[in-house]
Amino acid sequence: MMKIAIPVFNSRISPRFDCAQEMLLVDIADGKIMAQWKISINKLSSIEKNRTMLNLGVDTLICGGIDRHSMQWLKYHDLPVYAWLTGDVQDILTCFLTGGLTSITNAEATGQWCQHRRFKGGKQNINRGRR
Amino acid sequence: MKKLIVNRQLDIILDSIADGVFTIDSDSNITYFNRAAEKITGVPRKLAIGQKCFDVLRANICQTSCALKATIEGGESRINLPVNILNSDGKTIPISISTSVLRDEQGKIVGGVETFRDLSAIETLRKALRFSGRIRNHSADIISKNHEIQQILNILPDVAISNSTVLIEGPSGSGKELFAKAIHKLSRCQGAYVAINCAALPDSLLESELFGYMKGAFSDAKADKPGRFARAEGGTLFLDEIGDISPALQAKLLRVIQEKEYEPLGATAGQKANVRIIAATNKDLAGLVKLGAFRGDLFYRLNVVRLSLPPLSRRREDIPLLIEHFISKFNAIKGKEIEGVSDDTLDILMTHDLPGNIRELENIIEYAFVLCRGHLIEVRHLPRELQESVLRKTHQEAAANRISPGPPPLGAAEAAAILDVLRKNGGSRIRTAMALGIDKTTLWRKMKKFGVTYR
Ligand SMILES: Nc1ncnc2c1ncn2[C@@H]1O[C@H](COP(=O)(O)OP(=O)(O)O)[C@@H](O)[C@H]1O
Ligand SMILES: [Mg+2]
Repeated sequence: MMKIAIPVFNSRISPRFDCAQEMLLVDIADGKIMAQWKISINKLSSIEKNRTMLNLGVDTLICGGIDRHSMQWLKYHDLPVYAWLTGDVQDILTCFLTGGLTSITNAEATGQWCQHRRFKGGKQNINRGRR
Repeated sequence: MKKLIVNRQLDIILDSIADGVFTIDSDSNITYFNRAAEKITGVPRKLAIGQKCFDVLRANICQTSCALKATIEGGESRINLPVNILNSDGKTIPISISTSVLRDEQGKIVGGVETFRDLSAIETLRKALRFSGRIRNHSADIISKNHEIQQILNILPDVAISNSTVLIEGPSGSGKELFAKAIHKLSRCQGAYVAINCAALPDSLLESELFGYMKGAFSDAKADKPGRFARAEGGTLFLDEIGDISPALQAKLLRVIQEKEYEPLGATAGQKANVRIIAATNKDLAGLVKLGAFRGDLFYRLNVVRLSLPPLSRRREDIPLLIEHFISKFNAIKGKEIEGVSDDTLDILMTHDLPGNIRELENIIEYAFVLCRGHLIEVRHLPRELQESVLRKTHQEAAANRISPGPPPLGAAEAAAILDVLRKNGGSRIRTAMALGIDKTTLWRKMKKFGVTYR
């Protein structure tokens, strides 16, 4: 069983983790979604959002834009992050379940991570990939 | 044909202005994106067009109170609204935005235009001013998420107004003086903040520095000289490294604290002292009392409120915050635009012992600023000793693990070995590569080849 968290903005992935108002939590077992529910995170500061990830026992964060500070913090706490995604949340989930996302914390990239990945077509950008 | 030429001219004009400009249709899809917009957001035009504006701008207001949407719906423009965006490097950029509606030839609203201006330069200036000490506020300067520090910060305002003597304990570089200054500022007293390092001066000099002297007190005393107590009148005197003062001076200090009066050298009458004393030490003062090296009665007088600052090794969670804090401080002071440290660098700073605590971390960042020409502080910008100590440590660990940094093993055994070393190094690729005696890109290639992953 693993728990993933996706900050959301209506039906789309939130463009910005530190400003996200809602978070979708998804329980996954054997590659299938067991449960998903939304929680409100609008009262949390950026650092509290990071901490909440750990407190909720989240195994993986899937998000849109993320500030360098949160990225470093989450990396330090060994939480894998798939970031700089755009598009419909359920499409992204499907993509994740079929192994179509690459994690940024696992990649060797450093400061320029997002430039290399963002909008680079295909996997990271669901919008474009499906067009 | 004519319209085409007009359009091209418009493009040239819009591309030559410094403000970012973009337009959206009624579904928030970007239809135009000028060159300055590319530069400020870091998103190339050809990728921005057709995207939702919030996925490209990533402003703090997008998800709660989109200004452009309000304009399109209500028809009213916004002017110079200050917001911030996240650029494609993950950096927060302050901007101001202005919005208006976009109408077609029939006057029907078909979308919106937003222009935005990068305020980073102004922000940098503001920060520089703050760091020059003018608009400084105490808690913004003390960076910490550590619960021990948070507890101290919670009581700090009460401690400050209580006017009682404070003893601050903590290893060197842990922020004792920073807290002393914060207490002084929060106390809102009229007098000055005066600091003196008791370990830096020989006894006789320290005494005249503290209490001052009168003309003729000794042969060189050609005029009266007020001491630090006099200068701190109505304010705060910070006695740093109090554990190092001589027994004679301990006795004199005790008298000032008890009687609120002291005698400058060569004076015939006592002088009133209305001074708040904050003492600091990196020694175990209570232990020194037991050993008889420090007066117990003075200790109890100083120890009315005791604040103990933990060493940085007990609050590693603060390291990323402090790094960011020092980077923005030095960016402002030195006019640079360094954005952060590489992951490997952070790894090293998080795991290395920093016996000099926060001061050492600050020095490391300042040193890196000298060497770093790009936007990111890398391992090679760290002081030599730090780089070497990391290397030494990994070699030691490798030896302990009986994996020699010689020629790497082959095949499946190699994959297993890589995974093993990765695990032992907590997933750090740089340390793993070093332990295996191969470079980072080789490790990367091998991991890919063997399908080795480490969460
Ligand atoms: N919590 C903190 N946040 C930001 N800067 C700090 C913090 N603690 C210490 N520093 C900085 O580290 C340096 C050393 O602190 P200082 O107060 O002189 O230490 P000490 O007096 O214990 O030797 C100073 O430049 C100080 O501003
Ligand atoms: Mg000091």
